[in-house]
Amino acid sequence: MNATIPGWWNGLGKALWLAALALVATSFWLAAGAPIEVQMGPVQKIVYVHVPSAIATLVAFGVTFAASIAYLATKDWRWDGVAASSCEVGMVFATVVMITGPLWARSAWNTWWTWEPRLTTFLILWILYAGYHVVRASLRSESRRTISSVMGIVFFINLPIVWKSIEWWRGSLHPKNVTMVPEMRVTLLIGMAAWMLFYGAALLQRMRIEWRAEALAQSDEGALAGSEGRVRG
Amino acid sequence: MTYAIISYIVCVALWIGWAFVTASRERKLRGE
Repeated sequence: MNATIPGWWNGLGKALWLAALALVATSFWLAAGAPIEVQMGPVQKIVYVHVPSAIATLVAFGVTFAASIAYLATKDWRWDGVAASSCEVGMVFATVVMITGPLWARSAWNTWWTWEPRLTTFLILWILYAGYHVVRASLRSESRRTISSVMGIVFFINLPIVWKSIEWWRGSLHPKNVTMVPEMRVTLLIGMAAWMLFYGAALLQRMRIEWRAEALAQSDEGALAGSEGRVRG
Repeated sequence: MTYAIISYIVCVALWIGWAFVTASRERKLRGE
């Protein structure tokens, strides 16, 4: 399978970056001007980066799950590349959530961390997908892609648990329903759109590494086959 | 307010860091 980055990939990547960065800047500007929440005060503005990052994390790991299945079904290296790229981008989003969450919790709940269901399950999610990268980086054999895909599928089990944790277990500090004034809701929705676009742009960018690595591996294999041919000849 | 500002700064810094690392890895693979 040819491993050259297609021309449209570069064009789409640039367009997505422009749109994403413009929308992220707009969402920051809107967040600065959004009404201040009465009980929590200005710290509530963390919601405009925390919640979209959490949603993007779940989407990114969901894409890893789907691409892992596609790789096992087709054995096309590009699906494995999508899975690994999406997982890495998802890890950055998850780290943003893990840092902004305690900052918000300190003001809202008067504690940096508490073992409530959503926080605990999200921490497990972060550790599992960090493990995905550690194991993947430690493998150099043919089975690397297959083992990564199996992890991408198995670890996905935790996603619905994170999502439903506030309903399944008692003692959750995360609210089940949130009421917002229209200005806050619009700011949050624009933030979500901005960070989803950003996810798309980052995924395309990260996938370039997979294209380059595969091209390099193919050229090495070609050179090896050529040298073996000369030795035999 | 301080925590909110720190959150936004950390978020932007993490992504800038990721972008640098990603670009550097790609340059290395290109042999530059």
